Amino acid sequence: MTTAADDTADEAAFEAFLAGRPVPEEADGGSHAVAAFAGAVRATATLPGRPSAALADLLAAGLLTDQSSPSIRTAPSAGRSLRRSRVRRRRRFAMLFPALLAKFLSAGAVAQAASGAGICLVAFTGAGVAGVLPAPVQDTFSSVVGTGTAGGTTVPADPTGTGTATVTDTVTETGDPVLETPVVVAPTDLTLEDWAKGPAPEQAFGDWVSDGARHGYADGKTISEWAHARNEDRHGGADDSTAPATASGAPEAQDDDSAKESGSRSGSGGHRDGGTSGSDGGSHGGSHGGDNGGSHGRG
Amino acid sequence: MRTGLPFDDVLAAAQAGAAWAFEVLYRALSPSVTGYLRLHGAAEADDLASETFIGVFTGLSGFSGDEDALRAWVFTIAHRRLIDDWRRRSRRPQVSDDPGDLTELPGGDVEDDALVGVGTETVHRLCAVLPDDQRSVLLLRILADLTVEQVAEAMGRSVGSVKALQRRGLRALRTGLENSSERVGAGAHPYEPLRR
Repeated sequence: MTTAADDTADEAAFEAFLAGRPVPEEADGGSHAVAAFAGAVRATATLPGRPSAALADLLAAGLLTDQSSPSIRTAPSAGRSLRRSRVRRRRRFAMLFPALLAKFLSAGAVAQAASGAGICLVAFTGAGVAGVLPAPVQDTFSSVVGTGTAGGTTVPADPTGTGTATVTDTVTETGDPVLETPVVVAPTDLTLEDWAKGPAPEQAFGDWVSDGARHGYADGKTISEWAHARNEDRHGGADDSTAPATASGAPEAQDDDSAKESGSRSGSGGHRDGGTSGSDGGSHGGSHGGDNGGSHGRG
Repeated sequence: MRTGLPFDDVLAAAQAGAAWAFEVLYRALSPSVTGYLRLHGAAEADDLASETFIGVFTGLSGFSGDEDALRAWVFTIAHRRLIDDWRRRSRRPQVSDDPGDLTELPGGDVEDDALVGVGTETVHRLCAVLPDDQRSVLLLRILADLTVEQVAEAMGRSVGSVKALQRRGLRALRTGLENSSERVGAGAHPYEPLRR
């Protein structure tokens, strides 16, 4: 039968062990056993675990923050990102066009005439810039608008971009189309959504993590989910179903704790543990707003 | 956490993404983090520990604090990964049945290793009978060396609640130890082999 005195003695022995002090002599055998248990617990935790492949990549290569010359392996994902953005633009236009057409048809006659004139003007300007107008018209157009270009570089006449100098920087004197070079990775090409979809098939996991960190998308939860999926792939064979469930690329829904953490994070700010993830979030000790709220004073 | 290097230097390098600093922090913290997860009965403790450290390393740039704060933060992440894992599995944590996890302890003497193995199994068994919250409090205090206040913050509980959980956990532990002693036999302490 454990008494209140035993509880007090056990707590004293426990605290003494944690503080590195000897167990009080007046403690009974049970309190000594409690302290011995604590020592046994520590004895079981002496070796590091086996790091997963993703963690091993991090431990071997770190998070490369300075990548002025992007690696070849990042090029495919960048090219894919460009393609995706073009597809998105096309889809957006496809959605907007019917709405614009309906609005135009429902407008009054004067409005339609004005809009039609505007469209013709824009079309004429575009054709003139492209140099596809008949020769006399083109000459006239060039004499009026041609002052806007110099040496193949477009200089906007109006710094605000709202004036008549609508010539874009893709127009050169040679008329050569602008070639896309998928090897060049612009820092803004990678969106959070793209990054959250995980590493490209031929992309190293570490490179994917580094990309995310460089763009500020690095999210411990997302990375863990993908690492977990990758490990499962390695253990049980490739299976797309093991990929983390994403809502537009985001990791799985957060639990109650996560919601609470995100609330406390917004209260104290400070640490950012992975952007959208709330799993490691929350506020943390003093200047750190990661997981623990408040300070970590010794009690 | 004894890194052998100035903590501020290690932290600054780790925040810059240096692999060597990750290695230093991993070696210093991984044993206790992995042990914490194992003693909680996590089925894949190594994987959970890896997820924890990936989260730590990728989120380290926003951290500022001393060693104590870093350790508390790391264990907070580990604890939440554990809870996520429990919820994923939707079942009560169970003691790992993988003997490799329990007996991978340093040593070279077969008899010592066997004794330590027996002690490790007893530790796992006693931990398994504790309720989750009580086990979390005791393990965070023992393995993470956190204060009651830090444990309260890591678990999202009040200080008073953590103190009560600790008291009840120690009481349950004493009962379990007494039962173990009775099973082992009079005069034979279940942790005698570990007190070397």
